[in-house]
Amino acid sequence: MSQDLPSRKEFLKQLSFITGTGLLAGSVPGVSFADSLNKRNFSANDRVRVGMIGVGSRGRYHTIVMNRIPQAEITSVCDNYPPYYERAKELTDGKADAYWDYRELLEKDQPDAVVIATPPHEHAQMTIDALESGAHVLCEKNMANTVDRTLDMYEAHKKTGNKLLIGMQRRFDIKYLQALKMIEEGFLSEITQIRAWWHRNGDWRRSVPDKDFPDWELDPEYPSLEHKLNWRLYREYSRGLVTELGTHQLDVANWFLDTLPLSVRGTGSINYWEDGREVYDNINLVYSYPKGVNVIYDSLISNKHYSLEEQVMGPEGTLEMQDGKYYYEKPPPAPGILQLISDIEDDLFGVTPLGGDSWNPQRAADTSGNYIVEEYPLPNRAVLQDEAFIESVRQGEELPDAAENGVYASVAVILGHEAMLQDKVIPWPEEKLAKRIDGYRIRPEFKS
Amino acid sequence: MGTRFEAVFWGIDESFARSVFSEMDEQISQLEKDLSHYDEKSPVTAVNKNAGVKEVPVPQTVIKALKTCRAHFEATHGLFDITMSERREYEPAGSSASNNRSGFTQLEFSEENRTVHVKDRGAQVDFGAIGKGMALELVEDIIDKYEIENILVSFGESSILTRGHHPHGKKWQIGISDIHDDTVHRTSFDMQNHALSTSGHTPRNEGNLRHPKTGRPPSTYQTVSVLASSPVESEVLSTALLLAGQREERRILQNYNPDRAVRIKYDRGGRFVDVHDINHSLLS
Repeated sequence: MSQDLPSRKEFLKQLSFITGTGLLAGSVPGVSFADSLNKRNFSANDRVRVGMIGVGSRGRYHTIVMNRIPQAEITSVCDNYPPYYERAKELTDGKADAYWDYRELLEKDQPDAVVIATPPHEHAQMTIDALESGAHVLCEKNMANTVDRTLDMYEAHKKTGNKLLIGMQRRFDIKYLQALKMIEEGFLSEITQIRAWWHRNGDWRRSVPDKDFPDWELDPEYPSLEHKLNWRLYREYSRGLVTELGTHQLDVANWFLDTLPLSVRGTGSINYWEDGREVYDNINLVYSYPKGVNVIYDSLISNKHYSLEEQVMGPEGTLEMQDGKYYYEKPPPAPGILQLISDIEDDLFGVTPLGGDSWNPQRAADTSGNYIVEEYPLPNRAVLQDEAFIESVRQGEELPDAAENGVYASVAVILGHEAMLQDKVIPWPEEKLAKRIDGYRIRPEFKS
Repeated sequence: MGTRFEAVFWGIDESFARSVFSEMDEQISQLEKDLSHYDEKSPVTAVNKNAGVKEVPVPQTVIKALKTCRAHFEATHGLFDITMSERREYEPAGSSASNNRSGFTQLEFSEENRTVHVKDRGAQVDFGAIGKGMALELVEDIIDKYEIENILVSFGESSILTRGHHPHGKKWQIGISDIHDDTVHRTSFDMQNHALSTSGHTPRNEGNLRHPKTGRPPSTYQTVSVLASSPVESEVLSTALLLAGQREERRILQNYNPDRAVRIKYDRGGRFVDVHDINHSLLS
């Protein structure tokens, strides 16, 4: 399989490479942005001033990564939970201004960009406020818990002209980019099904300290510290597995299929961790895409034997993205045999490189497959994502369709949750998206 | 065999070549149905599922294959062993438990009743190490039947059968590729009416082959290629010699007479170390 991978430097330079086939790129024409509120032009040596909003689990990781990006400087940090607030100060060696309230951070520090890694029910308002303050935004997934709030974020991005990137790291994974290239070159012939899952075995809880924090009051929106720390388990704040895990994998489905779902159906339940949580501990969804393609998704937290995977299948082969392998349905001709035939045709006689170790059979799940990318280790995709964000801010270039892709993945998982909750087939909100997303055109399947 | 099967003919009409190839394909497919342990419906799968439980009726092909394997099990002093025990690898070499579970001591078959019984529930029959050789024997019969003078047949590149010669040379020349670089060959074999088989313990297939008595894979990365007149013999020897220590190597080669056997060694990083001719070194 041809390997024509960009170096890390080239990768970041060629940001357009990230779009792959560019889902709906043609339908997002040269949008004339409103004048950006962020007037700063970066010179070669300028660093992007970054504010970190939310320094819990994911925010901690972003902070560590941003600290290591030479073109970025963390100038402010924010968290309203004492241990995380202290952690944020420690991670920045006390150099960044620390805030309890993100609005104060935006007003006083006026960062060029912010990273938002708070619970999803807070994303929309924080993102809108940040964009309107003039900052570019890297926001963790899922964008929001409702389609309307997701679109509110998108519209703020369009209105302000400031960049909005949602943390779909797989878009920055060289393995996925190479797989997309293989798909475009016809490796699968066409995609007929995608099967994806994310399995863990654990209660998905974070421990809640029993000590008090002097002079600190819990935000009124949370009835208890348990709710604040374990927001992933309560519907008020999260939709659970589908929005926290599934969003990454549905983004891959949209990306590789280069289209969007038509509808989703599914079922979910709490069948093992009956501990007061409100979100499902096992979910099963089927997304219907155009041309009869289905994306089958499940997630559970009572068995991790199969861990996580995205299997992309077609009549000619299979891609397994987590394993980073591809499998042929039918064996291709051996390169040595092709050389032998070529030599015979060219009246040449020589050694045929044929007698090696046994060629791996490619017919069952227990076969070993071939690596999508031979060179390892690959750059960390989460790091590349943050680097690409900083570069896009510095260069003043948009990461193509970044906000739109975030919207589509977020909407897909929100609908998946609705399908389970209502026990109904939920259609894709085609008309709503067409009204609120620039260039989005209603697809033939939705025209009566 | 779950691998690709390819043939290069020259000097005959294409449609004739295609019909000959179809016949080869049909016969190999039938053999695979009988001997595969991947196929849920194969008799070998039935034998394995009933290991430690009961005897299972099988077709004559399976009995014939088992007789061949038993002969080679004995001729290789137990190193060529188509029975695998899951427990064997956990037991120290030479322990009575491991010896009891190795090889054909766990296997009973009756030619008369056409039945097979694997006595140990942990043992399984796997014809993978000889299947391609047996298939190439079928191919030989078809080649002889249609008097094909020049042909090269490849089974997953690791098992090759030739007749006659390359159209622009007096032989076929087959290179054994480096395990990491297909474009580099570490040695080459001159083939006319020959079979060539290569077995390997490499970073990509670590643990596929284990010494029947110790349960351990070879101590270093290596491939062994054997050129012989018989495809089954080259298949058996490439496997047995891959697992053999020096003393075992000598004992095995007293019972066989391959045209050439070559071991190619690699270091822990999979980098090429050296090539040496096994039977030449024994003769010298």
